[in-house]
Amino acid sequence: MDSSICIKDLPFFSSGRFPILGRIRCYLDGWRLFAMGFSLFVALPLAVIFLSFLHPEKEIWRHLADTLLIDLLTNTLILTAGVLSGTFILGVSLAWLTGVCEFPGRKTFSWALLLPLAMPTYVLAFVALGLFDYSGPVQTFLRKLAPADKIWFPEVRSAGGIIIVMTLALYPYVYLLARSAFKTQGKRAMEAAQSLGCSRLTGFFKVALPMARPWIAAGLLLVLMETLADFGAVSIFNYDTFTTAIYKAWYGFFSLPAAAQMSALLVIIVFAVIIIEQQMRQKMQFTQSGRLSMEEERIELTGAIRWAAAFFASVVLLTAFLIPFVQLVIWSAKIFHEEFGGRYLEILGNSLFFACLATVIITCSALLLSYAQRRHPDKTMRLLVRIATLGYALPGTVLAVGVFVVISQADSLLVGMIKAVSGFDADALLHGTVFIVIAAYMVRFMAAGFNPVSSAMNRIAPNLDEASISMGVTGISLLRRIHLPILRNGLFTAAVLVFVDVMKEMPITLMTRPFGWDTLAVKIYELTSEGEWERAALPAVALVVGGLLPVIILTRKTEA
Amino acid sequence: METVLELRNISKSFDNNPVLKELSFSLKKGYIGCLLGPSGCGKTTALRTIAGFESPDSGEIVINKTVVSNREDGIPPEKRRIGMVFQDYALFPHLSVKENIAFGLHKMRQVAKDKIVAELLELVGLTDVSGHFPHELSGGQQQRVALARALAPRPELLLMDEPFSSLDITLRERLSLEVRDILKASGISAIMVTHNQLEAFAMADVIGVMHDGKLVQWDTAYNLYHRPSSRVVADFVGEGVLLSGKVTGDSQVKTSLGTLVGRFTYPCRNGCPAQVLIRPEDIVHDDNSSFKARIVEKNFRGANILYSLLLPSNEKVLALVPSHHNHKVGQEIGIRPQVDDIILFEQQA
Repeated sequence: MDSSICIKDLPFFSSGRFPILGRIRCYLDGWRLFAMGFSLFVALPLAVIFLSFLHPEKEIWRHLADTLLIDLLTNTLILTAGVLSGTFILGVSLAWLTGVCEFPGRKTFSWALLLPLAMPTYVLAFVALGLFDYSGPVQTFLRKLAPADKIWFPEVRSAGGIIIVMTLALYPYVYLLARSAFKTQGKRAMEAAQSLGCSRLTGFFKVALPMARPWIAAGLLLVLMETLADFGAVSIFNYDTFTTAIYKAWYGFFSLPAAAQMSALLVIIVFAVIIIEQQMRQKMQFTQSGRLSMEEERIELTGAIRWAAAFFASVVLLTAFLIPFVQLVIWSAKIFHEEFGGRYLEILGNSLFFACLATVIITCSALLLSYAQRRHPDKTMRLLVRIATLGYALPGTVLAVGVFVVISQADSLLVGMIKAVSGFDADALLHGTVFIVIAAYMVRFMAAGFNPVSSAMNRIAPNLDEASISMGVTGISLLRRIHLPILRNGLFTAAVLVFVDVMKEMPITLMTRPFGWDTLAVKIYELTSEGEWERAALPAVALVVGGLLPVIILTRKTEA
Repeated sequence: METVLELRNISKSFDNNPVLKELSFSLKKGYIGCLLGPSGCGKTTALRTIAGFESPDSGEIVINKTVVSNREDGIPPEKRRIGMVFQDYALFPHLSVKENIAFGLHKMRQVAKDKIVAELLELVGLTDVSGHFPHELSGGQQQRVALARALAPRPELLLMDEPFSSLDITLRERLSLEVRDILKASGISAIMVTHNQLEAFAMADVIGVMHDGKLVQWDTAYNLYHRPSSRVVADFVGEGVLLSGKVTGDSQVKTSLGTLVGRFTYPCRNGCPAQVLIRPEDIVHDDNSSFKARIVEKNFRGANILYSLLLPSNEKVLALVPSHHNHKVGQEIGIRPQVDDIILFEQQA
């Protein structure tokens, strides 16, 4: 393997009588091989899912088509439409208030409104149920005021309920992107609008908002992907979508093919979203103009409006983060003595083990992939990288099915080979081991690790290598003195993001974990499916506190 | 005087696309050389080949009597004792000004390092900002850090790739003179690359005009302007137009400006059709002259006005006229040619 990291012209291997071989060897250096291998690793589970259409499970499929499919589609449609409108309204209005206007507490709200990112959707979901369900404190309290039949209370386990919960959990994506659009789009455009006779307010609607459209759309697409991929929250609310149906096909019917076919349907929807997303992203690069931001000249809200703005932001912050978090802490305190102990520590240990192992492997792979991209910044490599990082858009349930199938196949192949060679009859090698979980994590979270590393890598211009080499600093010393310091922050961010993502990951762990390997997220799933909100609070608190880490990094980055 | 750098027939192709064709020149010790040419002429590739970041397909490069590159093998860039100033400076973003400058100093006691860095900071006038990071500096300051960093290891040869192109014009002029002074003061030999001839004139002792991968003329600024060896150089360096004419004697050529008499820079056969280079200062404005030309364009330049004139033969010439001779576009003015050295090229069939 040509392990040189610096960009320079390729050495040409002369292979004597076979110039073609020499050329192929020259093309296929270690970097390209690694990128190809990794994208194959991601593409295989997907391919397997699509291939499952070749052997349709007619019985189950017909049953599904008769009873479930229409329901699943309408449910998914209602849910996505509701969550998209909800996050749009909350995200854009809050971004406008904190990004462009001035009102009491604006600075604090500006970062605090990102806090809900720390709360996994399923945690918010079970806290909401715990609070507002029939036996929860709110309804109990209301019943004390008046006889039960006189009080009308909306059904919490409904489309409306889950939409509100997911809106509160996911609006920060729209908020974050819209706010950075408002902050970076520059004052020039607004000044141009004002010079053409617009007031600041009409200028906002005619110029600033349309200019922010690609960012807002990107935020909404993230929300859309998260909504389609969500498993925990919808299963807690007993709201059937594709992800829960895949899980049920797997555990209910014990039919892997049916689960795979359902996954393929979901993947088609997700791919459509990805394609739109890629096009949006290309647009985002061209819209920035002017360096000055609107920071200095905020719109000063006056009179009652400024307090209304502060009130609105506080209500969102309270319902999406503060109240649920306080409730979790109260519940945890209540059951701490019973729950905290050997069993809990064991589960925590499992979570940490998975998270640490996955973090190390994924961060290293991300680093190698970034170097591969730096070494060969060509079209093929871009495609390979895109495939390798595709997993982030794919729902965990889908990936679990795909990876499971691939590894089972590989396993039986391996076992067969071993038997043929040595006569030793192994039952299974990879099947039912930690390997399968880690493999699925790698596919799912590669993008989370790759993006920060790759953007740090972009800062190491090829010139920097050459400057260093011309001064006699090469090889390992170049890596240590130039690359490592520049990459350090990116690697750290990648590690934190992957770590937290793995900690709170639910469906993959649930579906592929070896026997006895319960994690915090799995425990939450089991407890909440029995309605044990209070007992689920202790693992949830651990996840939320861990989830605060990336939010802190994010706010530091955006405020700087 | 000693030769510090010599290129012998350097050729280089990318994907069967020749970028350098048989490049040869040499630079004396302590001199500043410049490769001048439009973008895409191969000048940056030439510089990177000298540095060792590219290897030539054929030919030899000699730095200080050592062959650093030929077909079989080459000395890697880090062993060539060259310093390089990059177009975008390539300062290390995670290191302070001081640390950037000290980066190339190896195997040296800290005290010695500090002394060199302090001297260089003084030399480039950045002592005040020695603790700052590159992103905190202005463009001109960054440029000086890049220069100091490249000079710190006392290279045999300094290479500069479009060193002033990211600066604004006023700064560019001032800094190029400053840099020249610094290089001359420290006795460093240097090769720079630029597309800007004024920069080349200001900085370099000797300039090579490159065109399409070839070095067309390697000469002083004066000779490039007054004795261009080919039409390519005449076109690229300075302003001027080529008039067609016919050689009628040892030192006579007939053009639409009349018969010009003067020394030929290159000998030309009698009766030969030729093209004559007319510089703007070769046309003298004279109200008494009976030879009239119509103004088609005018370009005010402060002390002078550059007029674009249409001759009766429908050819155009440029005339540089003191700016108190202010005429309107469309007006006819009297001119007379004043050409002592006639630069003419034989017309290709």
